[in-house]
Amino acid sequence: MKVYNSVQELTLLINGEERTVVVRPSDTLLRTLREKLGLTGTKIGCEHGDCGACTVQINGKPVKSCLVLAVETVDKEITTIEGLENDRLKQSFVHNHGFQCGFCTSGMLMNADSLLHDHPNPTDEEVTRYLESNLCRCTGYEGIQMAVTESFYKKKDPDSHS
Amino acid sequence: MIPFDFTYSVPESVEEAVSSWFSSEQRGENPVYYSGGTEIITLCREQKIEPHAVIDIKHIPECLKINETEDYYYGAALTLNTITEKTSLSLFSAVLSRIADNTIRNKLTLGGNIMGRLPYREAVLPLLLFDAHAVIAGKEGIRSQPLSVVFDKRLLLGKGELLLGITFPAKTDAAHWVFTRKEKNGRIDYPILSVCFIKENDSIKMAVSGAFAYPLRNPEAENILNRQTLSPLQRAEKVTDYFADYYKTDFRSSAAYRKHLLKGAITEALEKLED
Repeated sequence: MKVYNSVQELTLLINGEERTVVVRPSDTLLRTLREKLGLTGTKIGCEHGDCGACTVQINGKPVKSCLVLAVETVDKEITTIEGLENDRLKQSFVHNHGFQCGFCTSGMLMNADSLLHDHPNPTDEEVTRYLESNLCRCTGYEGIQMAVTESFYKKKDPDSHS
Repeated sequence: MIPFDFTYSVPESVEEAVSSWFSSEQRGENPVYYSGGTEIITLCREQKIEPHAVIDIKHIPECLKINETEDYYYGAALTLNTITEKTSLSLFSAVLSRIADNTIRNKLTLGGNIMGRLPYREAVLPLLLFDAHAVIAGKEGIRSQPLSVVFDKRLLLGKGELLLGITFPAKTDAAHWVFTRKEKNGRIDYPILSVCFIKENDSIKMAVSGAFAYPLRNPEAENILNRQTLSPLQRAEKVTDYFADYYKTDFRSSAAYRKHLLKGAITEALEKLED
């Protein structure tokens, strides 16, 4: 049985790279990414699992990193906004004004990328189901939804939406 | 940030988990079993609980198993999204997919929802209607007990006991069911009413959450529900009157409004299921 006591050195697979970090077992993944690994693209919002600003992908699934212990993620693949390679989605957010203050954007992008991976041909219901996990205090939801939808259409047919 | 330290252990068998719990308890570490952790992390951060030993059950095979062949079995450490994707039971899937939000459901587990401190614990509703049993491990071994016995306001576990999973006899998907959920502020919110109905062998069963302080299935209320000499509205009025002392009032809703919603939900469900 593995036991993690007090401060411990862990190797985590983050954005395709093995990163060594010293953590307490009670450190959340969110705090570890930001404060120990300098990956500050993942934002601290409510730290309560409500807002989605801290969303990262673990083994491809969107998860709120404020509700994950860093020690839980040993042997898993973690992707943060710094490792997100979906340029089409990012461009689509730019084209559609999918952000205002930008604080929620990294969480929205991580979630939307998982949606398009899990459901390459998403229904409106699937888009809503994924995006309702994230809050935008600027209420820029329409632009965000348009960005995700455009990204999907562009993948299908680059000329169908512009 | 969680402002205190704990030991985090990862047992790979039921025996290791239970033994680890008792060892930690002897050392005065106030141990907790940990599965999805969404509630435990939040409570730790707010210092509402202060365990100094966290025992993660996600590597125990019995907690991760899912079986829908002979007796149905769902491990306590399965995430709600995993069950929703795999189960053939449409009512179970419909209820689980309305708990919290999609991202949380990638972490929140069946056992976590059943064992949670929040009053809603909606995963319990279909399980009460399926006459499910809780599979519980402890120092004395593994036992299986009907939820109708072992779930009284909350799951009644003994010292150091652990919920391994939920089981019930094989079911064909109950085509005749109704699930109604009402929230104050839109889909992603705690329910002010969450109620499930199924019709089996011409009998209607009902389990309620949100309106009360805990999930509930009540045989007396079901007797009233099935008095077909009365109209659906008459039965709904009698059932909601029967629960007069159960409705709660909080900032989301008054008791009177919860009662009103339940009456409407029962009337609609009876009309649909008896049509």
